[in-house]
Amino acid sequence: MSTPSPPPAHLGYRVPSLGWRITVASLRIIPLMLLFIGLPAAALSFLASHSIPIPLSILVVTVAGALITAVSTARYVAKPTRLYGPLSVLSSVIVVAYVLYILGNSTYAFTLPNTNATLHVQYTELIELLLIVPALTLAAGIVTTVEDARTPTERLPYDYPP
Amino acid sequence: MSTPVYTYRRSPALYRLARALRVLSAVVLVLLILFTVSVVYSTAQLSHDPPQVGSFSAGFDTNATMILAGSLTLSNPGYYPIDGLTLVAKVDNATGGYLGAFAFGPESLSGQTTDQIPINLYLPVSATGAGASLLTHSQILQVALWGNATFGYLFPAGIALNQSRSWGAPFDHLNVSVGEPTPNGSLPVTISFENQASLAEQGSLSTAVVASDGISCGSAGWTLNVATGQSFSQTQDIALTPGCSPAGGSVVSAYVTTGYTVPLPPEAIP
Repeated sequence: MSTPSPPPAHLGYRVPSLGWRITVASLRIIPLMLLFIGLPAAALSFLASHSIPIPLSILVVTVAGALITAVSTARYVAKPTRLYGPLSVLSSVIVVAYVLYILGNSTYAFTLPNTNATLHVQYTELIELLLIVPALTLAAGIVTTVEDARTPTERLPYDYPP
Repeated sequence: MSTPVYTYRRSPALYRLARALRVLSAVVLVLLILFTVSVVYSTAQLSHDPPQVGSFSAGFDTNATMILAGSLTLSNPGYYPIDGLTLVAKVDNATGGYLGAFAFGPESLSGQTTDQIPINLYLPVSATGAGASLLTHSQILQVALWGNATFGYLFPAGIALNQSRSWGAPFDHLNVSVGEPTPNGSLPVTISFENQASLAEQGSLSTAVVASDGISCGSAGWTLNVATGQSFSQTQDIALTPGCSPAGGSVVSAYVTTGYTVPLPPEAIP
Protein backbone atom coordinates (compact mmCIF):
# COMPACT_ATOMS: atom_id res chain seq x y z
CA MET A 1 0.00 0.00 0.00
CA SER A 2 1.47 3.29 -1.07
CA THR A 3 1.32 6.32 1.14
CA PRO A 4 1.18 9.84 -0.33
CA SER A 5 4.30 11.74 0.45
CA PRO A 6 3.71 14.32 3.11
CA PRO A 7 5.85 17.37 3.67
CA PRO A 8 9.02 16.56 5.52
CA ALA A 9 9.18 17.18 9.21
CA HIS A 10 12.13 19.48 8.72
CA LEU A 11 10.75 22.18 6.49
CA GLY A 12 12.83 23.62 3.73
CA TYR A 13 12.05 26.35 1.29
CA ARG A 14 13.03 27.49 -2.16
CA VAL A 15 13.06 31.22 -2.60
CA PRO A 16 12.94 32.33 -6.24
CA SER A 17 15.90 34.34 -7.40
CA LEU A 18 15.80 38.11 -7.34
CA GLY A 19 15.82 38.21 -11.15
CA TRP A 20 12.82 35.87 -11.32
CA ARG A 21 10.91 37.89 -8.73
CA ILE A 22 11.62 41.10 -10.60
CA THR A 23 10.42 39.50 -13.84
CA VAL A 24 7.16 38.28 -12.29
CA ALA A 25 6.67 41.59 -10.47
CA SER A 26 7.09 43.43 -13.77
CA LEU A 27 4.39 41.27 -15.32
CA ARG A 28 2.11 41.97 -12.35
CA ILE A 29 2.43 45.68 -13.04
CA ILE A 30 0.22 45.34 -16.13
CA PRO A 31 -2.98 44.14 -14.40
CA LEU A 32 -2.28 46.37 -11.40
CA MET A 33 -2.00 49.47 -13.57
CA LEU A 34 -5.13 48.45 -15.40
CA LEU A 35 -7.00 48.03 -12.11
CA PHE A 36 -5.74 51.08 -10.24
CA ILE A 37 -5.14 53.56 -13.06
CA GLY A 38 -6.64 52.39 -16.36
CA LEU A 39 -10.19 51.55 -15.31
CA PRO A 40 -10.76 54.50 -12.90
CA ALA A 41 -9.24 56.98 -15.34
CA ALA A 42 -11.31 55.56 -18.19
CA ALA A 43 -14.50 55.80 -16.11
CA LEU A 44 -13.72 59.40 -15.13
CA SER A 45 -12.85 60.31 -18.73
CA PHE A 46 -16.12 58.75 -19.86
CA LEU A 47 -18.05 61.00 -17.44
CA ALA A 48 -16.07 64.06 -18.50
CA SER A 49 -16.66 63.32 -22.18
CA HIS A 50 -20.41 63.35 -21.47
CA SER A 51 -20.16 66.80 -19.85
CA ILE A 52 -20.65 65.30 -16.39
CA PRO A 53 -18.29 66.82 -13.81
CA ILE A 54 -16.05 64.16 -12.30
CA PRO A 55 -16.04 63.46 -8.56
CA LEU A 56 -12.28 62.80 -8.37
CA SER A 57 -9.32 64.36 -10.09
CA ILE A 58 -7.82 62.13 -12.79
CA LEU A 59 -4.37 63.32 -11.66
CA VAL A 60 -4.98 62.15 -8.09
CA VAL A 61 -6.33 58.82 -9.32
CA THR A 62 -3.28 58.35 -11.57
CA VAL A 63 -0.74 59.31 -8.90
CA ALA A 64 -2.42 57.17 -6.23
CA GLY A 65 -2.74 54.24 -8.62
CA ALA A 66 0.93 54.53 -9.63
CA LEU A 67 1.99 54.70 -5.97
CA ILE A 68 -0.08 51.65 -5.01
CA THR A 69 1.26 49.72 -8.01
CA ALA A 70 4.87 50.67 -7.23
CA VAL A 71 4.65 49.69 -3.56
CA SER A 72 2.79 46.49 -4.40
CA THR A 73 5.54 45.59 -6.88
CA ALA A 74 8.30 46.35 -4.36
CA ARG A 75 6.38 44.30 -1.79
CA TYR A 76 6.26 41.32 -4.12
CA VAL A 77 9.98 41.51 -4.86
CA ALA A 78 10.77 41.87 -1.14
CA LYS A 79 8.46 39.08 -0.02
CA PRO A 80 11.26 36.74 1.16
CA THR A 81 12.94 39.54 3.12
CA ARG A 82 12.13 41.36 6.34
CA LEU A 83 11.05 44.36 4.28
CA TYR A 84 7.88 42.52 3.27
CA GLY A 85 5.99 43.38 6.47
CA PRO A 86 6.84 47.11 6.49
CA LEU A 87 6.11 47.36 2.77
CA SER A 88 2.74 45.68 3.37
CA VAL A 89 2.04 48.26 6.08
CA LEU A 90 3.13 51.10 3.77
CA SER A 91 0.95 49.77 0.95
CA SER A 92 -2.07 49.57 3.26
CA VAL A 93 -1.44 53.07 4.63
CA ILE A 94 -1.37 54.45 1.08
CA VAL A 95 -4.62 52.65 0.26
CA VAL A 96 -6.22 53.93 3.50
CA ALA A 97 -5.17 57.49 2.62
CA TYR A 98 -6.55 57.06 -0.90
CA VAL A 99 -9.84 55.65 0.35
CA LEU A 100 -10.09 58.50 2.90
CA TYR A 101 -9.59 60.96 0.04
CA ILE A 102 -12.42 59.26 -1.86
CA LEU A 103 -14.51 59.34 1.33
CA GLY A 104 -14.06 63.10 1.53
CA ASN A 105 -15.48 63.37 -1.98
CA SER A 106 -18.20 60.78 -1.59
CA THR A 107 -21.08 63.19 -2.07
CA TYR A 108 -21.32 63.69 -5.75
CA ALA A 109 -23.57 66.39 -7.19
CA PHE A 110 -23.85 67.26 -10.82
CA THR A 111 -26.27 68.69 -13.33
CA LEU A 112 -27.59 66.18 -15.80
CA PRO A 113 -26.55 67.15 -19.32
CA ASN A 114 -29.19 68.97 -21.37
CA THR A 115 -31.54 69.28 -18.39
CA ASN A 116 -31.95 71.61 -15.44
CA ALA A 117 -31.99 68.67 -13.06
CA THR A 118 -29.32 68.35 -10.39
CA LEU A 119 -28.51 64.88 -9.14
CA HIS A 120 -26.92 64.12 -5.77
CA VAL A 121 -25.45 60.70 -5.19
CA GLN A 122 -23.84 59.70 -1.92
CA TYR A 123 -21.64 56.63 -1.51
CA THR A 124 -20.15 57.46 1.88
CA GLU A 125 -21.32 54.27 3.60
CA LEU A 126 -19.88 52.09 0.85
CA ILE A 127 -16.49 53.80 1.13
CA GLU A 128 -16.61 53.47 4.91
CA LEU A 129 -17.18 49.74 4.49
CA LEU A 130 -14.41 49.65 1.92
CA LEU A 131 -12.02 50.94 4.60
CA ILE A 132 -12.31 47.51 6.23
CA VAL A 133 -10.21 46.04 3.39
CA PRO A 134 -7.00 48.10 3.86
CA ALA A 135 -7.53 48.01 7.63
CA LEU A 136 -7.35 44.21 7.53
CA THR A 137 -4.30 44.17 5.24
CA LEU A 138 -2.68 46.78 7.48
CA ALA A 139 -3.22 44.47 10.45
CA ALA A 140 -1.81 41.56 8.42
CA GLY A 141 1.25 43.66 7.54
CA ILE A 142 1.85 44.50 11.19
CA VAL A 143 1.54 40.82 12.17
CA THR A 144 4.03 39.83 9.45
CA THR A 145 6.44 42.57 10.58
CA VAL A 146 6.25 41.26 14.14
CA GLU A 147 6.68 37.67 12.95
CA ASP A 148 9.74 38.57 10.84
CA ALA A 149 11.24 40.51 13.74
CA ARG A 150 10.87 37.55 16.09
CA THR A 151 11.85 34.73 13.73
CA PRO A 152 13.06 36.12 10.41
CA THR A 153 12.71 33.02 8.24
CA GLU A 154 9.76 31.40 9.97
CA ARG A 155 7.24 32.00 7.21
CA LEU A 156 9.49 31.17 4.26
CA PRO A 157 8.74 27.40 4.19
CA TYR A 158 5.06 28.26 3.85
CA ASP A 159 5.44 31.13 1.40
CA TYR A 160 8.00 29.25 -0.70
CA PRO A 161 7.51 25.53 -0.14
CA PRO A 162 10.24 23.37 -1.70
CA MET B 1 8.21 -3.61 7.41
CA SER B 2 6.97 -0.80 9.58
CA THR B 3 5.28 2.28 8.05
CA PRO B 4 7.21 5.48 8.75
CA VAL B 5 5.38 8.05 10.85
CA TYR B 6 5.33 11.48 9.31
CA THR B 7 4.71 14.56 11.40
CA TYR B 8 2.86 17.51 9.81
CA ARG B 9 4.18 20.76 11.09
CA ARG B 10 1.46 23.31 11.46
CA SER B 11 2.26 26.80 10.22
CA PRO B 12 3.12 29.29 12.97
CA ALA B 13 0.29 31.17 14.67
CA LEU B 14 1.41 34.62 13.48
CA TYR B 15 1.70 33.36 9.93
CA ARG B 16 -1.79 31.88 10.10
CA LEU B 17 -3.15 35.10 11.60
CA ALA B 18 -1.60 37.25 8.88
CA ARG B 19 -2.88 34.91 6.18
CA ALA B 20 -6.37 34.83 7.70
CA LEU B 21 -6.45 38.65 7.77
CA ARG B 22 -5.41 38.82 4.12
CA VAL B 23 -7.98 36.22 3.08
CA LEU B 24 -10.67 38.04 5.06
CA SER B 25 -9.81 41.36 3.43
CA ALA B 26 -10.00 39.73 0.00
CA VAL B 27 -13.39 38.21 0.85
CA VAL B 28 -14.72 41.57 2.10
CA LEU B 29 -13.45 43.28 -1.07
CA VAL B 30 -15.06 40.70 -3.34
CA LEU B 31 -18.37 40.86 -1.44
CA LEU B 32 -18.42 44.67 -1.59
CA ILE B 33 -17.65 44.64 -5.31
CA LEU B 34 -20.36 42.07 -6.01
CA PHE B 35 -22.87 43.99 -3.88
CA THR B 36 -22.04 47.31 -5.56
CA VAL B 37 -22.26 45.83 -9.03
CA SER B 38 -25.63 44.24 -8.21
CA VAL B 39 -26.98 47.53 -6.80
CA VAL B 40 -25.79 49.47 -9.84
CA TYR B 41 -27.34 46.88 -12.15
CA SER B 42 -30.55 46.86 -10.13
CA THR B 43 -30.78 50.66 -10.12
CA ALA B 44 -30.05 50.78 -13.84
CA GLN B 45 -33.24 48.78 -14.36
CA LEU B 46 -35.14 51.94 -13.36
CA SER B 47 -34.21 53.46 -16.70
CA HIS B 48 -36.32 50.79 -18.43
CA ASP B 49 -39.36 51.81 -16.42
CA PRO B 50 -38.97 55.50 -15.53
CA PRO B 51 -41.45 57.34 -13.26
CA GLN B 52 -44.59 58.36 -15.09
CA VAL B 53 -46.49 61.52 -14.24
CA GLY B 54 -50.13 61.18 -15.21
CA SER B 55 -52.14 64.04 -16.63
CA PHE B 56 -53.40 66.58 -14.14
CA SER B 57 -57.00 67.60 -13.74
CA ALA B 58 -57.91 70.99 -12.31
CA GLY B 59 -60.93 71.71 -10.16
CA PHE B 60 -62.22 74.09 -7.51
CA ASP B 61 -62.05 72.98 -3.90
CA THR B 62 -63.06 74.29 -0.51
CA ASN B 63 -61.38 77.25 1.19
CA ALA B 64 -60.97 79.18 -2.06
CA THR B 65 -58.47 76.79 -3.55
CA MET B 66 -58.02 75.10 -6.84
CA ILE B 67 -56.85 71.55 -6.76
CA LEU B 68 -54.47 70.07 -9.28
CA ALA B 69 -54.94 66.34 -9.03
CA GLY B 70 -52.62 63.89 -10.69
CA SER B 71 -50.63 60.80 -9.98
CA LEU B 72 -47.08 59.58 -10.12
CA THR B 73 -46.45 55.96 -11.03
CA LEU B 74 -43.22 54.58 -9.66
CA SER B 75 -41.86 51.19 -10.61
CA ASN B 76 -38.95 49.43 -8.99
CA PRO B 77 -38.00 46.58 -11.30
CA GLY B 78 -34.72 46.07 -9.41
CA TYR B 79 -33.91 43.61 -6.65
CA TYR B 80 -33.29 46.07 -3.83
CA PRO B 81 -35.86 48.26 -2.11
CA ILE B 82 -35.99 51.99 -2.55
CA ASP B 83 -36.17 53.41 0.98
CA GLY B 84 -36.85 56.84 2.37
CA LEU B 85 -38.58 57.98 -0.78
CA THR B 86 -39.67 61.59 -0.39
CA LEU B 87 -40.95 64.09 -2.89
CA VAL B 88 -41.55 67.80 -2.45
CA ALA B 89 -42.92 70.11 -5.11
CA LYS B 90 -43.22 73.89 -4.77
CA VAL B 91 -45.17 76.06 -7.15
CA ASP B 92 -44.52 79.76 -7.73
CA ASN B 93 -46.50 82.01 -9.98
CA ALA B 94 -45.03 83.90 -12.92
CA THR B 95 -43.86 86.76 -10.70
CA GLY B 96 -42.18 84.44 -8.20
CA GLY B 97 -44.95 84.51 -5.58
CA TYR B 98 -45.31 81.30 -3.61
CA LEU B 99 -48.55 79.48 -4.38
CA GLY B 100 -48.41 76.08 -2.77
CA ALA B 101 -46.48 72.89 -2.16
CA PHE B 102 -46.90 69.17 -2.28
CA ALA B 103 -45.04 66.71 -0.08
CA PHE B 104 -44.95 62.93 -0.14
CA GLY B 105 -43.21 60.32 1.95
CA PRO B 106 -41.05 58.97 3.35
CA GLU B 107 -42.15 55.69 1.84
CA SER B 108 -40.48 52.46 0.78
CA LEU B 109 -40.86 50.71 -2.52
CA SER B 110 -39.94 47.06 -2.45
CA GLY B 111 -38.11 45.41 -5.30
CA GLN B 112 -40.15 44.17 -8.24
CA THR B 113 -43.15 46.35 -7.32
CA THR B 114 -45.05 49.30 -8.73
CA ASP B 115 -46.80 51.99 -6.75
CA GLN B 116 -49.06 54.86 -7.68
CA ILE B 117 -48.72 58.02 -5.64
CA PRO B 118 -51.55 60.56 -5.72
CA ILE B 119 -50.42 64.13 -6.20
CA ASN B 120 -52.87 66.71 -4.95
CA LEU B 121 -51.62 70.24 -5.18
CA TYR B 122 -53.85 72.90 -3.61
CA LEU B 123 -53.43 76.41 -4.98
CA PRO B 124 -55.08 79.41 -3.28
CA VAL B 125 -57.20 81.44 -5.68
CA SER B 126 -58.51 84.11 -3.35
CA ALA B 127 -59.30 87.54 -4.75
CA THR B 128 -56.08 88.88 -3.27
CA GLY B 129 -52.60 87.50 -2.74
CA ALA B 130 -50.22 85.57 -4.95
CA GLY B 131 -52.87 83.13 -6.09
CA ALA B 132 -55.27 85.77 -7.35
CA SER B 133 -53.59 85.88 -10.71
CA LEU B 134 -54.34 82.18 -11.21
CA LEU B 135 -57.97 83.08 -11.79
CA THR B 136 -57.50 85.85 -14.26
CA HIS B 137 -54.10 85.40 -15.92
CA SER B 138 -52.92 82.45 -17.92
CA GLN B 139 -49.25 82.17 -17.15
CA ILE B 140 -46.20 79.99 -16.84
CA LEU B 141 -45.87 78.51 -13.36
CA GLN B 142 -42.48 77.61 -11.94
CA VAL B 143 -42.49 74.14 -10.41
CA ALA B 144 -39.50 73.16 -8.27
CA LEU B 145 -39.25 69.48 -7.45
CA TRP B 146 -37.02 67.69 -4.94
CA GLY B 147 -36.81 63.96 -4.49
CA ASN B 148 -34.73 61.81 -2.17
CA ALA B 149 -34.36 58.05 -1.88
CA THR B 150 -31.90 55.44 -0.72
CA PHE B 151 -31.01 52.71 -3.20
CA GLY B 152 -29.66 49.35 -2.08
CA TYR B 153 -29.47 50.33 1.62
CA LEU B 154 -26.18 52.25 1.16
CA PHE B 155 -26.68 54.77 -1.60
CA PRO B 156 -28.74 57.88 -0.80
CA ALA B 157 -29.50 59.93 -3.86
CA GLY B 158 -31.47 63.05 -4.53
CA ILE B 159 -32.69 64.99 -7.50
CA ALA B 160 -33.71 68.61 -7.80
CA LEU B 161 -35.25 70.02 -10.91
CA ASN B 162 -37.15 73.06 -12.03
CA GLN B 163 -39.91 72.92 -14.56
CA SER B 164 -42.16 75.42 -16.22
CA ARG B 165 -45.81 74.50 -16.60
CA SER B 166 -48.36 76.53 -18.46
CA TRP B 167 -51.44 77.49 -16.51
CA GLY B 168 -54.75 78.26 -18.13
CA ALA B 169 -56.78 80.75 -16.09
CA PRO B 170 -60.51 79.99 -15.72
CA PHE B 171 -61.32 83.71 -15.99
CA ASP B 172 -58.49 84.81 -18.25
CA HIS B 173 -58.48 88.54 -18.99
CA LEU B 174 -61.44 89.10 -16.71
CA ASN B 175 -62.81 92.51 -17.40
CA VAL B 176 -65.62 94.11 -15.41
CA SER B 177 -66.72 97.45 -16.78
CA VAL B 178 -69.52 99.70 -15.70
CA GLY B 179 -71.41 102.15 -17.85
CA GLU B 180 -73.21 105.33 -16.98
CA PRO B 181 -76.13 104.95 -14.52
CA THR B 182 -79.43 104.94 -16.42
CA PRO B 183 -82.27 107.35 -15.64
CA ASN B 184 -84.29 104.49 -14.13
CA GLY B 185 -81.59 103.95 -11.47
CA SER B 186 -79.71 100.99 -12.79
CA LEU B 187 -76.06 100.49 -13.67
CA PRO B 188 -75.02 98.53 -16.77
CA VAL B 189 -72.22 96.09 -15.87
CA THR B 190 -70.35 94.16 -18.55
CA ILE B 191 -68.35 91.08 -17.64
CA SER B 192 -66.06 89.37 -20.11
CA PHE B 193 -63.39 86.69 -19.88
CA GLU B 194 -62.13 83.57 -21.56
CA ASN B 195 -62.06 80.17 -19.93
CA GLN B 196 -58.57 78.80 -20.54
CA ALA B 197 -58.71 76.27 -17.73
CA SER B 198 -59.08 72.59 -18.38
CA LEU B 199 -62.45 72.55 -16.63
CA ALA B 200 -65.84 73.72 -17.83
CA GLU B 201 -67.39 76.49 -15.78
CA GLN B 202 -70.91 75.62 -14.82
CA GLY B 203 -72.71 77.62 -12.18
CA SER B 204 -73.33 81.30 -11.75
CA LEU B 205 -71.48 84.53 -11.41
CA SER B 206 -72.87 86.70 -8.65
CA THR B 207 -71.98 90.35 -8.85
CA ALA B 208 -72.59 93.15 -6.41
CA VAL B 209 -72.10 96.88 -6.81
CA VAL B 210 -70.57 98.10 -3.56
CA ALA B 211 -70.40 101.75 -2.63
CA SER B 212 -67.20 103.29 -1.29
CA ASP B 213 -68.50 102.98 2.26
CA GLY B 214 -69.01 99.23 1.80
CA ILE B 215 -72.76 99.25 1.44
CA SER B 216 -74.15 97.11 -1.34
CA CYS B 217 -76.02 99.20 -3.88
CA GLY B 218 -77.37 96.27 -5.85
CA SER B 219 -76.56 92.82 -7.17
CA ALA B 220 -77.22 90.51 -10.07
CA GLY B 221 -76.38 87.03 -11.20
CA TRP B 222 -75.15 85.55 -14.47
CA THR B 223 -75.66 81.98 -15.44
CA LEU B 224 -72.38 80.43 -16.53
CA ASN B 225 -71.87 77.50 -18.85
CA VAL B 226 -68.52 78.19 -20.40
CA ALA B 227 -66.57 75.31 -21.86
CA THR B 228 -62.79 75.20 -22.01
CA GLY B 229 -61.48 77.67 -24.56
CA GLN B 230 -64.76 79.59 -24.83
CA SER B 231 -65.23 83.32 -24.25
CA PHE B 232 -67.91 84.95 -22.15
CA SER B 233 -69.17 88.51 -22.50
CA GLN B 234 -72.48 89.71 -21.19
CA THR B 235 -73.97 92.97 -19.98
CA GLN B 236 -76.63 93.26 -17.36
CA ASP B 237 -78.31 96.26 -15.76
CA ILE B 238 -78.03 96.11 -11.99
CA ALA B 239 -80.80 97.95 -10.21
CA LEU B 240 -79.30 100.33 -7.66
CA THR B 241 -80.78 101.06 -4.26
CA PRO B 242 -82.23 104.59 -4.31
CA GLY B 243 -79.73 107.08 -2.89
CA CYS B 244 -76.83 104.68 -3.12
CA SER B 245 -73.98 106.10 -5.21
CA PRO B 246 -71.59 103.57 -6.80
CA ALA B 247 -68.98 106.21 -7.68
CA GLY B 248 -65.67 105.37 -6.01
CA GLY B 249 -66.95 101.94 -5.07
CA SER B 250 -66.29 98.62 -6.71
CA VAL B 251 -67.88 95.69 -8.46
CA VAL B 252 -67.39 92.53 -6.46
CA SER B 253 -67.91 89.20 -8.18
CA ALA B 254 -67.82 85.58 -7.19
CA TYR B 255 -68.07 82.38 -9.14
CA VAL B 256 -70.59 80.08 -7.50
CA THR B 257 -70.59 76.44 -8.43
CA THR B 258 -71.83 73.32 -6.69
CA GLY B 259 -70.43 73.47 -3.19
CA TYR B 260 -67.86 76.20 -3.80
CA THR B 261 -67.78 79.95 -4.00
CA VAL B 262 -64.69 81.46 -5.55
CA PRO B 263 -64.21 85.20 -5.09
CA LEU B 264 -62.90 87.07 -8.11
CA PRO B 265 -60.71 90.18 -7.98
CA PRO B 266 -62.87 93.33 -7.42
CA GLU B 267 -63.04 96.00 -10.08
CA ALA B 268 -62.96 99.63 -9.02
CA ILE B 269 -65.69 101.98 -10.24
CA PRO B 270 -64.28 105.37 -11.28
